[in-house]
Amino acid sequence: METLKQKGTPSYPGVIGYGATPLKRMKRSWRLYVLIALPLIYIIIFKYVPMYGAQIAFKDFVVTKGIAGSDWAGFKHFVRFFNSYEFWRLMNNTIVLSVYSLVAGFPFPIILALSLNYVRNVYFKKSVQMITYAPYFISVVVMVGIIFEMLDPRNGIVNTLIKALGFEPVNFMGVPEYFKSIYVWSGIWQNVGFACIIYLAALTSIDPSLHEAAVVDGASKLQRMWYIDLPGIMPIAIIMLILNTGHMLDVGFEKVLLMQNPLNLRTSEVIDTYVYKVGLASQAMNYSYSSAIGLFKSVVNLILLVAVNKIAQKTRQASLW
Amino acid sequence: MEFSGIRESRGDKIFTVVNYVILSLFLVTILYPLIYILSASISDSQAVISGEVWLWPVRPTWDGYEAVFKHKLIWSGFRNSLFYTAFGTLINVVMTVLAAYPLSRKDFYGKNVFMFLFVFTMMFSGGLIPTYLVVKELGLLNTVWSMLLPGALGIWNMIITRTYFQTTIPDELLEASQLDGCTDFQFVWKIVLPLSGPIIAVITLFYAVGHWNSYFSALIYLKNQNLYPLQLVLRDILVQNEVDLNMLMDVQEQAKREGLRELLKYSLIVVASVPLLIVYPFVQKYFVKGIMIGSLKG
Amino acid sequence: MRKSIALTLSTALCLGIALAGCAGPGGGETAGNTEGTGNTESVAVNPPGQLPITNEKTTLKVLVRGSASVEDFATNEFTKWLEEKTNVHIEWEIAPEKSAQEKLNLVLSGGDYPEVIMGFGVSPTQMMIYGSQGVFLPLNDLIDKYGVEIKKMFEANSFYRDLITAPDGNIYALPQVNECYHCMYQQRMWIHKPWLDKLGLDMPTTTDEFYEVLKAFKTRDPNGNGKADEIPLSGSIQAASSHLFSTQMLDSFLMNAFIYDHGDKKLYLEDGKVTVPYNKPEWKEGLKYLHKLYSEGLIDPQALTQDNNQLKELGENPDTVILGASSGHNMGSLTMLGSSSGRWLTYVAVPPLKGPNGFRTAAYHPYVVSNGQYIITNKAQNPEVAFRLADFLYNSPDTTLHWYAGREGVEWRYAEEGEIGINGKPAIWKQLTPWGGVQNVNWGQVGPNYRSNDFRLGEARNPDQPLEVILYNETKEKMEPYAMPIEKVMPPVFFNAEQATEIADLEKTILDHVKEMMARFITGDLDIDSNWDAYVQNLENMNLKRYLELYQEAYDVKFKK
Repeated sequence: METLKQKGTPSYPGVIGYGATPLKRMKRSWRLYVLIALPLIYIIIFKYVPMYGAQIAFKDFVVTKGIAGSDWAGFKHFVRFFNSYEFWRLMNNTIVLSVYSLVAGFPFPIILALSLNYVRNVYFKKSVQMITYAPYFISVVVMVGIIFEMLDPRNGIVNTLIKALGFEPVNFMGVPEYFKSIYVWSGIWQNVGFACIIYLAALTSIDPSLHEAAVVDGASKLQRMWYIDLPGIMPIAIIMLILNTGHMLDVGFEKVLLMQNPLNLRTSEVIDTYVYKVGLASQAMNYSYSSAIGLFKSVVNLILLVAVNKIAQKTRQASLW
Repeated sequence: MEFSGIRESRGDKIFTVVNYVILSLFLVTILYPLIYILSASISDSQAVISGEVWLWPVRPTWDGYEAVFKHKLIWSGFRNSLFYTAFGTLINVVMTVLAAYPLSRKDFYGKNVFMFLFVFTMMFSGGLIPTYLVVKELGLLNTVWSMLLPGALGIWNMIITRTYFQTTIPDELLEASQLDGCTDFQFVWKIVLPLSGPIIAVITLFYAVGHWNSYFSALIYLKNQNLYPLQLVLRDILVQNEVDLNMLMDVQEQAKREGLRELLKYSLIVVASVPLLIVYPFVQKYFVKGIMIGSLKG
Repeated sequence: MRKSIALTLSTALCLGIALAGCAGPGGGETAGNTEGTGNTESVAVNPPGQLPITNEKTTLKVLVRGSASVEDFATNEFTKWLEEKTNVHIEWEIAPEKSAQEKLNLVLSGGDYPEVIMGFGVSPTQMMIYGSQGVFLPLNDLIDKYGVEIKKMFEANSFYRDLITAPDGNIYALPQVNECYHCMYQQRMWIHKPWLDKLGLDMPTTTDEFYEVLKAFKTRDPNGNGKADEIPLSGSIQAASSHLFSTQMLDSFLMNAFIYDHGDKKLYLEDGKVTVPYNKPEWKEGLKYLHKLYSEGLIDPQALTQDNNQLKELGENPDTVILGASSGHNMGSLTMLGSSSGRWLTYVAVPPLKGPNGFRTAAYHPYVVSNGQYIITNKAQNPEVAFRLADFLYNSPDTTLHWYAGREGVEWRYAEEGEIGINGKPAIWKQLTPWGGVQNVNWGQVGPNYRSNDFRLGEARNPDQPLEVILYNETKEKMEPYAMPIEKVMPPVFFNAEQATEIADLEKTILDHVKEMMARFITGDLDIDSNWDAYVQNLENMNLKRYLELYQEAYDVKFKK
């Protein structure tokens, strides 16, 4: 059934048009408010209420005095962080690692999903999906252990290949410049199978009649991929990009911690490992300090998120708001 | 995708071959470490420590698995995790759809405000202690609810779901249903949900994996060992075999413990992930091409 | 339209803030909860030294840090034995071992902590903070009035009492003291004896001799397989995730031929002044020596990047031995103790080497006090009972054997005539069944306790368990003669919250830099002669002076005579 659509105006029966007052619009959507009520209550109770704890960043928090009872410290913790000897190195390493992860890691799940989409042999397809999904569950400790084993200059498989080609073995973990690549590519390896699931789901929702039509028109698979599949998953891809940007400063610290050594320290120390070590060494768990740094990270993350979202809005494809 | 009667062009044939080759290569690089983990988990610990194991098991032994299944809490851990995963995921999916659907509607008044409210919580958090105190004040400490409620909604998953609704539920469908007198509630229940097989499958998977792997909430909210989920128990087992050089211990015991620890690192991964790997094929079913949409369009 | 959005937004925010206000002072209740003892009926406590502790059964609520080796404190055999003897019934709350510290903080912040906190190793700073708030009770009076066993421990060694006393004069927690003799000289070097024998070499005594030995390992094919695959010297950096130094690092043993290189932070005393070795010319000499070894291929390049597991893999190389030497706490640092390969028995300790300037020392760690193991909180209804229980746990050898090993006659028994202890003197006790795995008959070394040297070394020798004897002998013969003078050893000190915060930052930055530069100088990544001054200057820029000042302040407050 065809309904005449005015450009830009949702044409649901009942919509009065731009002249409607806000109150009328709200009333129209009352059922939607009902639907969203429960999640809203949830985030108020479990997310917004605890936010009073963000005060900790501005106080000298002592566990037994409670948040209200601890003294105000203003911006002391932030200043301490910004003035710390390592601040710029930390920011640099964190951002480099993050951007590299994001940029390198972004295309692969998409490529894998697109690839799998065209596999006709169901058995092969399901096996590949299953196997690539498995590494996600490997714990960080074992993952790093495997990385070490594979890169080992004596017995590691990578160096065995290098030696076979006639070159000298390389002590990968000892070269600071390699740290980020090792970190990022092992991360991609571990996560691509899991991350592509979302794209697979998106691909299944593409109208098959589009493909039918394309085939009839003589399009090759590559062309179909480019003109149908990619645009079909573009909204999700953009959203994923925005969300990932919103976690830019949150480079996971456990893996970095395990991969550090004295030789690569200058490229491997990130914000979270720094906070962890300073907090651990500090004999009084300094919640205030780590809270302040956390708050700083959140603010920067939010700014980045809003910025990328604005860019996404311009593409008119998808954005958070 | 089967289109009977249409012949593939040469370009397509090459494409297919290349596709298979790349995927196979990829498969092999992933397969190798996975096999290594399986092999290491059943190899003799001395072999693992000395680096003898590189692909196939060396002097197979079930010690690693024995240690895991011997632990008294392992079965209650499994049971608890199943419970938390099942109910937790159910709650999660319901909450997610409840939030994602309204936000996907263009005519939802105030949707950007709400969206911002939700996204904000993803970026800012009160911290461990205030959250703990809230859970405590609500009387949820040491109950199963502390495992199900605090994580009831994953904003990330909710946003993905919203995007899916936006791109797959066409406006025409909504108009048509409204002309038929369908309320929003009915629309969601009768039309949106059935069409959302893939995305619901995906978020179910994501949430389930999250629940299954979680241990930190259990660590801080639970005291009663009978409520412990599997991951917590498994970590316990690993820690149990750590060796402290300051402790007087006899050497054989120490060697056994240390050796066991090596094996456990791997057998724990296997034990923890096998259930999730088994579940996956059931979820895969839902990544079936848009049969639903096609048929409804006509 | 805009106004309504603003309205909605502000409503939401107001709601949030209002609710926040409600839940806000959740922490306020815990402030200064100084309800002391005697809220309910106090129980009559029997005079010190007399058992049982109380005539009627009393209950004590204890929060204990879970131990990997203890199955269940509540049903544990030792708990039962303890209850029988003392009439004190313990109600347990067990915090999982991982993240126990977080659990403790949460419990303290929520205000629902129990009467006794045991096994957490609470830091001196935390003790001072919570002690000054009255949450942790000062124990001085209780010690004076009711302490029997603990006084014996103080008599045995005067600094034990000093070490647990905060600068304000109060003792807020009781320690576990474990006089592990061989641990006191833990910075050892282990070398593969069969190679020395095969090549007809003597045990090296100077750094030059050690260099020659390493060269011989590399060039003369001691493992006899025709390949130059021997690795003379290696190490690991297990503690990479912390800025602290481990005993397997390259400097741990060798640097002590040049200057005092002590422990994980490297602080030591020079005439009562706190100082560090790593900005001194002797350190530079030591680094140059290590660099020489490295540049001639005598040091494994991976020594600066690999973790413990990889080092052990090296040591346990199947069939052919390829590792010549490595530093470490004991042979288990570079091989697998008790393994079927028997590799661990082939490595022996190297006595401290004499450096080119004649300097020679064995780093000495006598302060074997693990503080913060037993705390009585202000929620304790009968602190005297709580204290007497702890005091009883210090009793040795009887209580200690039950606490440590298990049941008399089953896991252990007293020694018989003729049995010899590890130290060669008549034995005190004998182990009957092997322990170390998960069990439920002892407390897995959790809690306040005193194991003196004599007690530990009084274990009867067991030919199947040579480790302790070997370590004892190696230490006594080779390390002890060169022990670092005790007045040079930096004792543990107390910091208040302010100092602790400052120290945390400085220490991490400084030690990380030392570690990083050490690695780069050794590998030759940076030339030491041209970069030394810049390195020392960097340390100054990192406020090394202030760092040392803080430690000096803390040291003076407690130890300055």
